[in-house]
Amino acid sequence: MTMASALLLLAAYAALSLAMRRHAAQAVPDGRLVRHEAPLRIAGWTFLAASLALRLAAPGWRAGVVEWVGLNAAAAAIVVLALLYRPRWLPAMGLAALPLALLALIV
Amino acid sequence: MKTGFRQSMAWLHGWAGLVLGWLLFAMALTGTATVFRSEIGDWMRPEVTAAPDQVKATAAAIRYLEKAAPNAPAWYLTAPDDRQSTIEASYADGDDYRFAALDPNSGRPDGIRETLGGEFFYRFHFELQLPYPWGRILASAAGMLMLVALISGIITHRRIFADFFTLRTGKGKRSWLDAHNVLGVLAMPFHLMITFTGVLTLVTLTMPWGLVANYGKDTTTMFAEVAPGYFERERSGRPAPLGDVEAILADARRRFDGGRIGNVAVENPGDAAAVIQVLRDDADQLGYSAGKLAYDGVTGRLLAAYAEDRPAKKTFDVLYGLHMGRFAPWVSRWLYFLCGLALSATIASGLVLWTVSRPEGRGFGHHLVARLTVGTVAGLPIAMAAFFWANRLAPVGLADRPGIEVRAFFLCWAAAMLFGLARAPRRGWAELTAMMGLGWLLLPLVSALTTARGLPASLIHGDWLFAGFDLVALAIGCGALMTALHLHRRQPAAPRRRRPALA
Repeated sequence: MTMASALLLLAAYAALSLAMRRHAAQAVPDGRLVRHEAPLRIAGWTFLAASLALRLAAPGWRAGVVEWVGLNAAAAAIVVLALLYRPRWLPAMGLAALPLALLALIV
Repeated sequence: MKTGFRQSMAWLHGWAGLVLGWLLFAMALTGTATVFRSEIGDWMRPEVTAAPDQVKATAAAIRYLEKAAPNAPAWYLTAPDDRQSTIEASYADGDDYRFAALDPNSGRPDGIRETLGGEFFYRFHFELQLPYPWGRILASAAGMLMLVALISGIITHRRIFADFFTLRTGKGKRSWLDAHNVLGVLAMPFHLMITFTGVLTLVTLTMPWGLVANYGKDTTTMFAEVAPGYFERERSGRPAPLGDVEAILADARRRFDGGRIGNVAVENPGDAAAVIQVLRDDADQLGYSAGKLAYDGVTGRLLAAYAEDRPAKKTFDVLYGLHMGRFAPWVSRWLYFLCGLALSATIASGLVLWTVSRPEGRGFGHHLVARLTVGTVAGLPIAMAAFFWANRLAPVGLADRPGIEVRAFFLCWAAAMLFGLARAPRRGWAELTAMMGLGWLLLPLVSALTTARGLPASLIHGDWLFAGFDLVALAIGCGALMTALHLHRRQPAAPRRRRPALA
């Protein structure tokens, strides 16, 4: 559950950052992303909520919430580092996190 | 009006951060190390190997204390668990108070090197190596200033969401500010939580008025009401040996629904009125003080059982438990560690920013702040490495061995501070960071040469505690050396700019 939750957060923060003009331009310099601000933002918040719901549904929700808050920091930090060193990989990274989260949920 | 408020908050943030900034950095970093207090303790006692059964191990330790300290009024023990192999015992010995680390296999202290282990960082984190209560009061004041700095920092930061992911490198002051903001904002919930709960742990010391108003000098009633379920009875004067300790501890585990035992107190040992109190392991739940059981030490009969159920006390226990992080399973533990590093780095970058953002003030105070920051910030990780080096290099059985480790820590830190004061900050940063890199990178090598549990051996045997410690040391060392190299490469620009000014 931790893994799925963490991957969803990664997708969430990738989407939320790409919904911002500055970072969209870093990741996709030709500007194709700029028109998709609103959907990206909605997707980001949805993934965020889903990851919290997932962690709350799992046993031991008290410790789970603490863990989830910490995972938020870690996931956002990974997105910051990606934007700094490999901005063009960010969209792919965010997209790849989604099926991986599903996989982690099943396994 | 709005800019006026923000500006005054910026002023408050700058000065609240500076006044005790160096102290806060030290508290943050030693607190971060304390996340792995048990693991550090194990690494610093390489002679001890884990025993599988905590009940048998604790019973063996009690049997040893029966012979070693028969006259002590009470023994206090910490049962070993999956994070800590040794049993920690403490007891009064006449006017002295003794601590002993006991081997879980034999229950005896023989052959284990004397060390404070992770306890040193834990104690320093809130007592600052000062006498009681001054260290705690100072730490508490620093924590309150940290809370002020955090809140005024949030108000000052105009673009929390717009700059949430923004980190630009190679742009001087702008980059420092980005780093300070990103480190502060991304782990903001953690920073607020750990600072608030940290201040709360010492609240009875700093704000005792509520307790004074309700209890006055009657501390017995106070303790009884704060921690009920603590079973006390007078010594009877009739000697009687302890009964079947192992059966008592095994029964406690059953009553905790298979949960582990944590602290064990044996009161009036050797007397017919002996009591064995068993607390549940604090790693089993979020709240800090968990179930308590009291047994008759001679007959093994259950005398009292208590589980905290009062909402206010439970809230306090949860907040306290959140700060201690003892409940945290391994993912959360590493997140505590990483967020703690982020907090330390936020404070350090804030201290650097204080000088970088005041380029006009090139006076004595400005230079002093800049240079003190170098030695204090870069010196602390060096001192921590020195503490671990001393643990491996000081011969086992030397008199006052724990004191030697502590002295190594403070001497190295003081030396780094002097070095930082003597060098131009740019050079000082590069040189001290390089020293830090060497200190940490060579630590696993020193450990491998002086003990049988070096990195190759622990990797082969799957000893993840030792391997983990060594790998973290290598990672810190590599990171520091790379930073030092980076700082060194940027050197030439500085003297060229400064020389005309001097000529």
